[in-house]
Amino acid sequence: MRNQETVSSTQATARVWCGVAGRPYLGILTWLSQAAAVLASLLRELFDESAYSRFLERNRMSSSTSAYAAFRKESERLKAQRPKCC
Amino acid sequence: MKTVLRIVVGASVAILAALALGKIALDRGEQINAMWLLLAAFGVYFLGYRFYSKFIAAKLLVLDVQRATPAERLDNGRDFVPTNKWVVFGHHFAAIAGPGPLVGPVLAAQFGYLPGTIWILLGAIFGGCVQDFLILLFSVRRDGKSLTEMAREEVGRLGGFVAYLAIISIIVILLAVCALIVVNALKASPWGVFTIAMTVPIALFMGFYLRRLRPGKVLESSAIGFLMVLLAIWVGQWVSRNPVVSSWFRWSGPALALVIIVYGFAASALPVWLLLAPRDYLSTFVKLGTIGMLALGIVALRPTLHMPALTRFVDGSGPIFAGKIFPFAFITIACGAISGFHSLIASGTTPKMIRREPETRMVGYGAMIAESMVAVMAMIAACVLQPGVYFAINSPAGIVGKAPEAAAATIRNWGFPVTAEGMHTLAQSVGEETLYNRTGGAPAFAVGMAHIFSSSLGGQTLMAIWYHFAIMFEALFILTVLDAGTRVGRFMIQDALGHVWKPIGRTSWYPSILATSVLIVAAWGYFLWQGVKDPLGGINSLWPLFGIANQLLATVALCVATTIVIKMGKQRFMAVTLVPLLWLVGVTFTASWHKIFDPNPRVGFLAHARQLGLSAVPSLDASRMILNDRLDAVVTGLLIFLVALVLVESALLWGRVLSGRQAAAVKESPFVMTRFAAEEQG
Repeated sequence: MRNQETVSSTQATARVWCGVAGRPYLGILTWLSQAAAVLASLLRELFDESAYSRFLERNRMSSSTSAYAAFRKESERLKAQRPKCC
Repeated sequence: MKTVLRIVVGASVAILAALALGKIALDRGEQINAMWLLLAAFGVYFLGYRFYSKFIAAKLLVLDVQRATPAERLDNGRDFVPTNKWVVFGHHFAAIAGPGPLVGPVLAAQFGYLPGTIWILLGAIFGGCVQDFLILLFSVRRDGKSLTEMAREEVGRLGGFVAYLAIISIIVILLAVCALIVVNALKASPWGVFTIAMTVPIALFMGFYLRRLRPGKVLESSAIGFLMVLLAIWVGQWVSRNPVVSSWFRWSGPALALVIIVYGFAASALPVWLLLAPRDYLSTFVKLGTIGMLALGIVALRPTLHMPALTRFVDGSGPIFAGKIFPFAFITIACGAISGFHSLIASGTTPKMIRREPETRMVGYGAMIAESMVAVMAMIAACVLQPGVYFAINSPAGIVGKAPEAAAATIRNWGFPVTAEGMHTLAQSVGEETLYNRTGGAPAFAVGMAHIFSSSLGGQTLMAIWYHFAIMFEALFILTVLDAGTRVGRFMIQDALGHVWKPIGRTSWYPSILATSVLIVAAWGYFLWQGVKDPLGGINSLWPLFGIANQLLATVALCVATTIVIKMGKQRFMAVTLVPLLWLVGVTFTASWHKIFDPNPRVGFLAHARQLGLSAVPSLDASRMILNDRLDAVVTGLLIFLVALVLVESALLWGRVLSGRQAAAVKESPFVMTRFAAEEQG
């Protein structure tokens, strides 16, 4: 498993720097778009947008003022017990 | 070939790090460039992560990629959610990075840049990162259990009880210190108070936007809120120049303290979601953006450090806080090197999001490296200031005097050139009436940050805007820490008192909410009031107390970690946790002894109380300060006593296990094969 992961990560790195045959910039672009996607999902997680999507999915609801109010009510207690560090 | 390349890269980084460390440690008499600090930091972090954390992961913890994590097994879409490792990394970093890594290094810069920097780098890779990594992994292997639960199960009931008391004490002192930093940054600053006051209607608008206009679009509303805050900062300069309007926002320290106490109570006891949640989002938005901007600014400007490597205050006579390098530099910088509070986060939300066990290395060890980097940047921001300016801002009136001429003369006598005119010009350039006696670290950091930002973008014309942007950024996220901490403290008190009388444990019962909110706010409010009234600025007594409490919690966390390591049968590697544990015991116990018994009244609480008692004209203020000193001494003594009990309990347990008198059995959740491995293969 570890070997497979290492190999795939090495291949991915190689793709980034060498690109696809004849078009080296494509590798960089792919990497950049992946990084942007991770950043976007990080921001969505930090700002509870992902949690809200999961809430809607779990309760089979669509976004609305009442759905958001229900989500806030559910997550408020959970969030209130999370310490923030110094 | 690849191995050779790896060795070459590793060796090159090691040589570069050694060169940079040599430069910052041995260079005397010349001002050095901040890039040397960054270079040393990058090198040390690279080596620490690449080799030391890998060694811990492979030999001590034996991270198992096949083992399902609680996020996978208990996935409920709420708190247990398997999440991308980079997202968890960012989430964890956002939770652990608070005002501590910014303020601690600024205060410790009174010793010079060297002691603090060395401690930040070595403390992080051998202490803080190790603690965060191990506690995170141990919590992952125990279904995301908290530090208190792990202490109770692995060490004993006393361990759990002491961890609980240490956490409550830390929260109380942390909140008081945070509030004091905000008070000292905003007192007599109409511009600053106006900007922070404006965040209230802005947050209310964001709440309305989120609830009514675009439900759930938090990023969008935070971006709009951020633009509105920038506008408020811009308008603030007009407020500060208008004599009538500025008088509405010019508040004294005690008045600000009372407002913050009322704010803390409201945040804990009233349903003020509409204000708090949007402000929390806004604060996260500003925090991450500003830290990123500071990093870019330092790299772009490559500023020179004007602070010497070591100052004359290594002898313990420092004006910001009294006490020698050992142990006080090591408790002044907690977050950034090692912070016990992180163990609460590492055994709180984060373990419930980890998708694969090996990712704990990047999240636990890696995020602490990122926080340590923030501390290095704060050290740079403080040290780019001229030392005379740095001491004029950070020294309390009780040490340098209130009059500008007298303060400047005192600081010049210490060997740091500064003039009253120069300080006046600087204050005007940042839109303040005065910058003297602004203890707490935040204003000095803001001036350093404004210097870096304005040198990179906008020049002197934007200096005032950048300064108030920095003050807004610090005050905003400190207030967020304050309201979140007050609620957490209230829940903990309800939980504990619920064992004594059941109804008080009901978190939705309003009389219980009110009573426990009063308790927690009164506790930190008392220390805040004490700090505001203290002629030595409050930071001199409160910050060391906070540092001691925080490091004592780290001591408890490392005790738990060492116990688990021994019970895992990995005693060959127990030095990994035992060495930082012994170091922390040495630091915290020595610091506590000094804070209680040192004969120097500026260091020892009891000596200070004795000195006040001997004063010719006893007053009500003096009696109150004597009481405060004695209370501080009792709190410090109690914390040390309790942690000593945990140490003894742990050491006895280690002895029994190592001698074979007790079976070495850890209380981990049973092994379950991950399905992610099969999915990845498929």
